[in-house]
Amino acid sequence: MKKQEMIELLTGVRSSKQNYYTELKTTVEELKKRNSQLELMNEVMRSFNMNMSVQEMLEKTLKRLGDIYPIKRVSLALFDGKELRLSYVSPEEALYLKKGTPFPHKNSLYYEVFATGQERIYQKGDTCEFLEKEAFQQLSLQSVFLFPLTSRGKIIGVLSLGGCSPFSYDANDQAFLLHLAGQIAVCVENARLYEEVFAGKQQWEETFRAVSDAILIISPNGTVLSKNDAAVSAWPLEDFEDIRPFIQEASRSANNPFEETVKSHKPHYAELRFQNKFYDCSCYPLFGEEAALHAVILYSKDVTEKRQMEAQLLHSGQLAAIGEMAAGVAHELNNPLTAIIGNTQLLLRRNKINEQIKPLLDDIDLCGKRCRTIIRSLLAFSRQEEFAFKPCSLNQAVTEALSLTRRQIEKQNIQLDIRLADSLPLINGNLQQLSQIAVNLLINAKDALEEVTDRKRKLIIETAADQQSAFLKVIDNGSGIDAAIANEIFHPFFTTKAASSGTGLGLPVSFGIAKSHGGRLFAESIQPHRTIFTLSIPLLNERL
Amino acid sequence: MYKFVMPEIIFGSGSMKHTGESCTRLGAKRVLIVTDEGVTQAGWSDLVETSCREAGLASFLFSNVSINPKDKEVESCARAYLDYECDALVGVGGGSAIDTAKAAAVLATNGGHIRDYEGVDRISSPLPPLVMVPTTAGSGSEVSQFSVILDTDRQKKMTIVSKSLVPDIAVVDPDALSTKSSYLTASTGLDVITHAIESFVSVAATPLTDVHAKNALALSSRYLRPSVASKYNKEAKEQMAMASLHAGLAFSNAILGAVHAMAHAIGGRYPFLHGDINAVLLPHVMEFNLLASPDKFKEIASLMGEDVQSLSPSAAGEKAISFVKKLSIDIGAPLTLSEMGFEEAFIPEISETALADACMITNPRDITAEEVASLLRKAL
Repeated sequence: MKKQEMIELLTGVRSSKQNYYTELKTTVEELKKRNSQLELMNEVMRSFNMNMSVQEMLEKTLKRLGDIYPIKRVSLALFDGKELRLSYVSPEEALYLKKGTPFPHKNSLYYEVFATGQERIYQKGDTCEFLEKEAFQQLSLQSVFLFPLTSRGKIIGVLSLGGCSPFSYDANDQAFLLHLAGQIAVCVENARLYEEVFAGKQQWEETFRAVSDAILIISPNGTVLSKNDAAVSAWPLEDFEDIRPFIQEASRSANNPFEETVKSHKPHYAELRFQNKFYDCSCYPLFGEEAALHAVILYSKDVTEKRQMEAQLLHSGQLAAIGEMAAGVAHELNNPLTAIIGNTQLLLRRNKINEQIKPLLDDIDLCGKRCRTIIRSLLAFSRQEEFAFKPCSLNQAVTEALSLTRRQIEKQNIQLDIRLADSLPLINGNLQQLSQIAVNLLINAKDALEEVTDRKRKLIIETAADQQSAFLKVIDNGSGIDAAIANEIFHPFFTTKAASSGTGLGLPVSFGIAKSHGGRLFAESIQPHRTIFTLSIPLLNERL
Repeated sequence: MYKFVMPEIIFGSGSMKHTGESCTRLGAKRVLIVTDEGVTQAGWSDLVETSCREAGLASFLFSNVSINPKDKEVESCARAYLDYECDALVGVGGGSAIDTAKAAAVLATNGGHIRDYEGVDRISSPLPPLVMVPTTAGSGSEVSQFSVILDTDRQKKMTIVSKSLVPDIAVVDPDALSTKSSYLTASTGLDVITHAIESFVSVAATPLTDVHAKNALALSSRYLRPSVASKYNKEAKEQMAMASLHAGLAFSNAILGAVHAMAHAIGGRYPFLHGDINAVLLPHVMEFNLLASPDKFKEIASLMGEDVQSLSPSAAGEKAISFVKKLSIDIGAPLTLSEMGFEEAFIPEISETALADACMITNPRDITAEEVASLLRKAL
């Protein structure tokens, strides 16, 4: 240094006493910057809770960063398990490589940062050769900071901050940016986990909804926490309505599986009957923390049809056995009965009959005939008698039955409503047997209406058809069938009528005929005052 | 083009009582009083503490300062300042206490080691408020931009020069001089004369510094003898205090010369009194420098009260030199380095060190290491 310069320095022409105002200004500037950094950090952290997308978070970060540093572009490259790919860029138009482009393992600055975990700073004029250089030049980035994103000790990607002007930084800035990269890594990882959990939840919910049987999750106090679509139609509940009264009602004849499960913390099963439908119902306990009962899963399957089929099958089995036995008995009785009736008639034809004996003989004759009718019915029931099948119409059977019963019905002041379908498709059957069913059903209806005094007695007989079957329905407004005996009515010798008027064979015989025609006969009692007997016979071309 | 810097100055008998109030005016709340044992025993630090208390300040005492203050002392002083969470420094004492307070202030706000600031203009952050209360009439440090600290590792006095080292307020109370020994009065008085002469002939001297240098020289030439003679000569004390203040203002802005450069080099090696070394070296350096500015030396002789009207500048300069020699003899100052214990063997090393000293730059005559060595040999 020249002497003169040194003297100037010594005498202070070019220096002054350091001033606290300048110092203060510098401090304030630094504080402002620090404040912005903290705000930025805070914003990134807040985005964890606010379920902000990664793209949104990057945009906000860029906006804030731009206030502190000359940074114009932020991008994220994430490792997908196989490759490091360019995943997010903000602003979105600042693209050179396409999104999703994998970075090669050689000559790539990004991959180098990912592989080594060391941050890297590119400044314009960097002489190293690498793939991204062209992109940086195209995007006119003068300096680019690359930081590894580390989450739980694992490097998950690379954060890149690019500026269009050269960028001076100190150790504090670098520490801050590293810290920022750490926060972004956590945020990205959180977003990924959130998506995973969300997808898992959605899949589970779809599975839950796809089941066609009702599934309900019920808290121990009866509130339905969750239910699938099938449950909505099976259990007509308002939101947050207590389901327990419904279960209580449905489980009148069985254990209440819900209460049992709540009590015992074990799965329970019961068959429930609710609104004329049968449900196979299983309850499973769902445990929360510390093995406390959190909720009960109620799974109910509509088995109404299955139960009906089972009941019919059961009848068929019983009837077959009874039929075999009855046929044997009837056959054995037929011969002695012929002798009894024949001899009685021979005695009655004699002129000199003691006036005192005649009523007795008449009675024997009547009872003998009655026995013969029963035996014929039994034989018919057990198909001992073979009948020829030919195409016929249910309308015809109804007409024949009405010709036999109409007078009796009208005599009882019953309003008879006949609704025969026009052009009813033909069925293959035996007209005589089918009209016997119609007669049986009409007589039953007439008998059921006998006690009705408080309302107009009504009887409807109608025929109809669909694609598969022809139907005959007999509907009355009598007292209906008690649910307790609903299962019994098709059993032979079961009757509710006085012993003199009923044999208990009308319905079993009709059932047998329906079966021999490949059809079904069933009863529905819709409270109050509506009982429907339906005969369905397959159409001619439908019969297997 | 030149610049002149100086602190606020409070001068006068009893002004020391205003130290606390001065600190308050600078916004201080907790002050560290830096002093040495001698000053504490004389009661001056108590006086300053009292004034601080009366001004409502919390004050803490650091009295671990020795003659020729060392880097370690500066460090522990700075630590005390930070530990006590002080916000101002008060130096009470001679050059040692004041230089320690200044150097500790540098460390307190700039950090690092005091060695980092050796040289010119190395301080980057402003210092805490500094109030200086000199109790000797000599160092001028209470107004100067210098702090001289001994580097114990290198056995070298470091000269730190910075405008930031100029204190904020100097409280100059001549009453403080009444407790000084005659020996110390003589030594510091010769320092004042050296300051005055060196700054007057300095190549960086300006009309503003000349005013102070001349005043310092005239006052000290006249009042040093009576001041040494009696502790109770109030007028002599007051005039010497003023002389010291003038000299301080002069050399702070015009810098010094070869005497101080060599004195610093020797002071790094030997625990001699700074004023004593100056006293021995001054006549020899004056002889060497005479060639550079004879007119100025004629003016020096005139200011010393010599009748030089009819003399040539160099003859008048010789008169000034003999005046200094005579004064030293009169007031009992040492006359040779050998009598203080200086060893010749160190001359080459000390010459090199002196040549590199900041004060050497403003010496009026260009000088080489050999010339420094020969001057030292003459002073043996």
